[in-house]
Amino acid sequence: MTLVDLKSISEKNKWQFDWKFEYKQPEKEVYKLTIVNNQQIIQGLISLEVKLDHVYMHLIESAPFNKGKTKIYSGVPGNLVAFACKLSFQRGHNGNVSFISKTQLIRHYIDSLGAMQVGGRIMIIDSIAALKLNDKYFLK
Amino acid sequence: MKKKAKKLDVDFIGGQNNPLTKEEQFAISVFLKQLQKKQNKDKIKQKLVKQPA
Repeated sequence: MTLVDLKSISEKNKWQFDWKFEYKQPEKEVYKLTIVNNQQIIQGLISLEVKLDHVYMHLIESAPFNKGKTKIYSGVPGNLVAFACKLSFQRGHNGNVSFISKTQLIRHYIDSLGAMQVGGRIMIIDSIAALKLNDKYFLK
Repeated sequence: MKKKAKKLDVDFIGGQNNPLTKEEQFAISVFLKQLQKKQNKDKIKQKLVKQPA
């Protein structure tokens, strides 16, 4: 993602989170998801941090037009999680990814991502689940 | 019958107001180490089973 992209990502444009803040943090890497034939329109964003032994997902947000019942594309968050797993493999962390879940969504992440609850609100996607997500969202 | 995975249906994951605490970071590291140990043990077991008599 670039500074030019950031201009269109604001509360005024109905993005929920402060992506300028994420972009400014030196330890975080922010990536955008676009479709093949239109790289100008951002479908979703992810903020990641490569830790010593895994990749931590700080934040994922679908674009405003990809939220709710009237969303245009439904696979945005899944695609971004799969990207985090891919990055974890590439950085030598066996696909391991962690993130924080709201209590009411823990079961949903177990069922949809194959994530594991480590305790409290911490979720981990291990290498087996990461490989499955990779296969599901990335062309071989 | 093979269980079909549910589709991830959320608008966002994570947040900006509750960062990971040091204790949580430690818990993740411990869990990953244990997981790695278990996976290594499983690999050794598989190798032992596969070896011809």
